[in-house]
Amino acid sequence: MKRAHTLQCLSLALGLVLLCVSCVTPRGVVHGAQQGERADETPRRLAPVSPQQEQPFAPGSTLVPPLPLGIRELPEDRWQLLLPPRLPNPALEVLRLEEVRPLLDALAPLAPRDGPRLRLLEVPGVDRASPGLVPPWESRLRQEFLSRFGPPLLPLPESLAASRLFLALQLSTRYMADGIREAAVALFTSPAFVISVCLSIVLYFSAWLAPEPFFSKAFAATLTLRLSLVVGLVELGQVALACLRLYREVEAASTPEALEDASARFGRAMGGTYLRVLVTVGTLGLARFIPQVPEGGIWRLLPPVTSEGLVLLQQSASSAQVMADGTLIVSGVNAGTAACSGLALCSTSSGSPGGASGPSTRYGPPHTRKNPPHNEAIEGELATREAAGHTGLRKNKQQVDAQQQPLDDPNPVRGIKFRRPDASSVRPDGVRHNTNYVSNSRDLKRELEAFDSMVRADPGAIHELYMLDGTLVRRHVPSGVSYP
Amino acid sequence: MAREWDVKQWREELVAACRFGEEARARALVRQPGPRKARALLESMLDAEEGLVRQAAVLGLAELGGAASARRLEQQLVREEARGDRDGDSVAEAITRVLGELEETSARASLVRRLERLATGKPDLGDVNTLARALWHKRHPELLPVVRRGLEKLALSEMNSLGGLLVLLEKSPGELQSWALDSSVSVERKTEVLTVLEEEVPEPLVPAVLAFISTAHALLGGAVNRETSYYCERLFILLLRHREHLIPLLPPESRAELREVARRRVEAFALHDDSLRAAVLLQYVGKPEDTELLEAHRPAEPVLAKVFDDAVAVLRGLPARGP
Repeated sequence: MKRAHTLQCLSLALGLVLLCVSCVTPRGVVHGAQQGERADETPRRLAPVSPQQEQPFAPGSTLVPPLPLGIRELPEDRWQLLLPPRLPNPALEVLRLEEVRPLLDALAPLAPRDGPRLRLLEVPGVDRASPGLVPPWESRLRQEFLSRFGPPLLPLPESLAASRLFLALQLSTRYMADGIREAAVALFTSPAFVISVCLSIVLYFSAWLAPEPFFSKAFAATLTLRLSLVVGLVELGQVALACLRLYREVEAASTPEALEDASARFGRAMGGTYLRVLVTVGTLGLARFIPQVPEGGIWRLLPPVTSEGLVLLQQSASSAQVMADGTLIVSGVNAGTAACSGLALCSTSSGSPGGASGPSTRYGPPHTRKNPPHNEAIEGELATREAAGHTGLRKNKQQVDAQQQPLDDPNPVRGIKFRRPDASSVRPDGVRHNTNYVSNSRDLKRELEAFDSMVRADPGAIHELYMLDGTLVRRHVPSGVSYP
Repeated sequence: MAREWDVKQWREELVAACRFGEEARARALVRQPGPRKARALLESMLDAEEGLVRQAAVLGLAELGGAASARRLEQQLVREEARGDRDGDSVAEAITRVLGELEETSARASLVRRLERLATGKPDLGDVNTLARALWHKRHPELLPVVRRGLEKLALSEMNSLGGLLVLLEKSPGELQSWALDSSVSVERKTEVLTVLEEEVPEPLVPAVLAFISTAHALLGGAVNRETSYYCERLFILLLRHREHLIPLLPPESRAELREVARRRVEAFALHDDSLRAAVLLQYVGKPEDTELLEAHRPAEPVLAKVFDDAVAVLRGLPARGP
């Protein structure tokens, strides 16, 4: 019930994002809403693609005419990409068994083959396995996915192999189109594959529940960038929507019919392109376990070169965010890298003031010029400390002791019980180090009050108060502690 | 134009009030535009890039309260967790705290889901502690299996508040009192409980707090080590956090025990600046003759010295010196 409620709320947000995305990115139109902005902010089109790069995707040899890709440079080495919806590619809408055979062979040793399809008819209800009885092979796959994608945003069933989601995915192949069904049946009878899809839904596609999905892990960011480039951002969102709808409906299903209906909707939504996306995300999460299939092999179900001539495997990003206006903002696509040349970004980034990679993206999302210097000072400070070997880096969080327990001011002034230092860390020798920056000179009195409060809360730590220009206002170094 | 400027000013003042921990000021600011407009403004602030602005929005929505705030805050919590950066961490911490304080019943479920998400990874110990404290505000028997499962999954080796929360959920007030006095229970486990009680001391657990004071006194007889020192420190934090409520409830024997513990802390640790809370506590449970001890161990650092001076002034029955 609780899960269903959360999903209902969040799926509304997802729907709105997808609506925005599909509304603001009409086919074949590069966004030009910012025409009144500065010249250097005008959306750019990619440089013409060289004939060598412009290789059509092999299956079916159907040339898909390239649609313009809008690119705009943002501060702090970020790029805003308008990824127009892709024209349907008939070659991708069919998926043959031979295409997925190498992946199936690689996945086979990872998990015991599932039993007969009779189990698909079991009545949904409480998951069948006893809680906590996760087969070792599933645990391995879970850990691998978690290490790549980070913690889940949706509740992760105790045992995925015994979950309704697993069942529903297997059932869904009955409703898939003729051109993909044979391959789908082969894929969805592989327990390792079905688990990988379950994990993809809970760990990756669930990000689309947020109004503006943000991927801070390079792995997920790169995946998002590549998939968006090759199938389109709208289409990628639609795959996510289909997956999350399945998750929600399966959770809410109380009868076998309801489960079957959910599976049917999912199966019918899965065209060849979407299934290719699903297979790519799922198998990439297991890449470490299938070394016999190199990364290029995992991406083999999608065109190696986009319609603009971008070599897919050359594209990477350290973070990516799907914006409500239908664009994708990426960072970590540095000048001089293959990714940069592949995206034809170098020509627009050279000489940009934000060209050198600064510290500000290391501790938080990329900043825009709207960010005040106060934030930049904190980011810079934390970056310096990390380089110096500090641990326990915290930003604007409640003051804590060595056991990470909150520390109050024993003599609070004006009823203010605790403080949130701008930057906190623990030196390699174990000494805590808190720093505040005067964000506004009119607030100096409050800043000094806060400084004294932090000292009283933790006299054994180093405390500093700086002006934004680096001028030291106050420093407390406990007795017996060396500084710096 | 003027209207727009006012909104900007309001937002800046709210962010500043939250940054400086001025909760009363922040509450007053949130009430200024009226609940409907405030909610709209605060929700738009949740989309800001700067973590401090989002933190202010979180505190504002908590002040507005209601099911709508609880729902929006959980949604934001998921978003902040997904960011995986330090700004997101700080906002997630703020949301966790306010969910503990919200009166909405759905807030407990939100916190439980946060625990379940944290338990699937290797969370920051501070996040676990903050969550345990928030859950204590939402204590209910149905939390028991959730907390047990969370602890099993997290398998924390360090001292943590989630363990303390489990003890508090498992034991009746009478059992807790006996447990606090039981010398076979480790000091670390008792400290874990204290860190949770710091958040809130329900009336039935006041006798248990007295038992924790007795335990601190009993520890004076043994060797002073890091664990016992830390136990005393957290006990002092608990008592000072609830000084208006708890100190008047202390019977003479507890006051005497506490005074002795505080004196010993001042004597033993003054050189390492760790005696500050003991000095503050002495001003509540000490006697005029304790002024000598405080003056003898007065630190040189002006901020810390003032704390000792204030305690001495109180004990002498003199008004505290101004700033």
